[in-house]
Amino acid sequence: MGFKDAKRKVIGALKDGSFQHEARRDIDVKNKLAIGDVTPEFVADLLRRAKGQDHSMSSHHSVPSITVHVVAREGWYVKFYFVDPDTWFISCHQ
Amino acid sequence: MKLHYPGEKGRAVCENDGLSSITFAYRDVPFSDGSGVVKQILVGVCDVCKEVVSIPPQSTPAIKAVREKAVVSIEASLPAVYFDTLDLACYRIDPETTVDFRKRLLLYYIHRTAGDKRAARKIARLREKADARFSAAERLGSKKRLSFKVSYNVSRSIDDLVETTKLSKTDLFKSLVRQIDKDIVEPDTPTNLTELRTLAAVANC
Repeated sequence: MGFKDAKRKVIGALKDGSFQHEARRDIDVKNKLAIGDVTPEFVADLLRRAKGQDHSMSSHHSVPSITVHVVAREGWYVKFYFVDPDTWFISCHQ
Repeated sequence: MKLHYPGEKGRAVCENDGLSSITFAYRDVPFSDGSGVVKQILVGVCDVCKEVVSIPPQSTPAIKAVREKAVVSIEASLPAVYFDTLDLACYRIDPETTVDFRKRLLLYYIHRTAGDKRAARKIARLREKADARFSAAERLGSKKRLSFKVSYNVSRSIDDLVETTKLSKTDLFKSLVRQIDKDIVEPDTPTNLTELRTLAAVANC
């Protein structure tokens, strides 16, 4: 999935609430969306402004078949992937 | 919005077991930086290793509430002249304020500066400029301990300001007090006095 489709899907998930946060036993304080420091609307607006050059992809370290999308925009880093039916946020921080 | 229920099944990535089936359940979950624990929030638990692997958005308000309540101690040792300046500013804002208003006035300036990069740069430059009155008083006077408790979020704003301004925490407080001196103590008519009097009125409730 390229950036255009990933962007549409993640923004849709933020809008309709079909997202979750990846956890590893604890609440990652670097995920500012999970801890409520930023709202889904804030992240959606940030991603809406993101361009292809702000986007990169890598494999998930635990499940290499999952593509992790990284958007670096305006000093923010947002890392997410898709495991249907949800969008999963790994981190969202400055 | 999607509401999850305890006992509901799903799937998620578990760092131990890869893509696994999960069951939603209420658990006590700590913060990764050790700043506290959020009691009994709904999370996704890996069916294999029983570790917490997912957090749905409905648990975020409870996480945010605990995060905001976490208390952090702020300590700094400042020359007495900075306390005198702070107290005089408080007195000018409202002669009825108590010593507790020192903290609120500093927090007002921290909040104002943390959200404004230009203001933060101004605070950083203030420390670079020597002020004859403060320098002389620093040499002559004794030191006092500034000590108060703030929420985790405010503590993080202070840490962010320390990073932005490249000042030590002590120098940051010194610069903030010098800004307070410039804004409130020095001028014949302080510009933000009305706003600060409202803050004092609310703080004294």
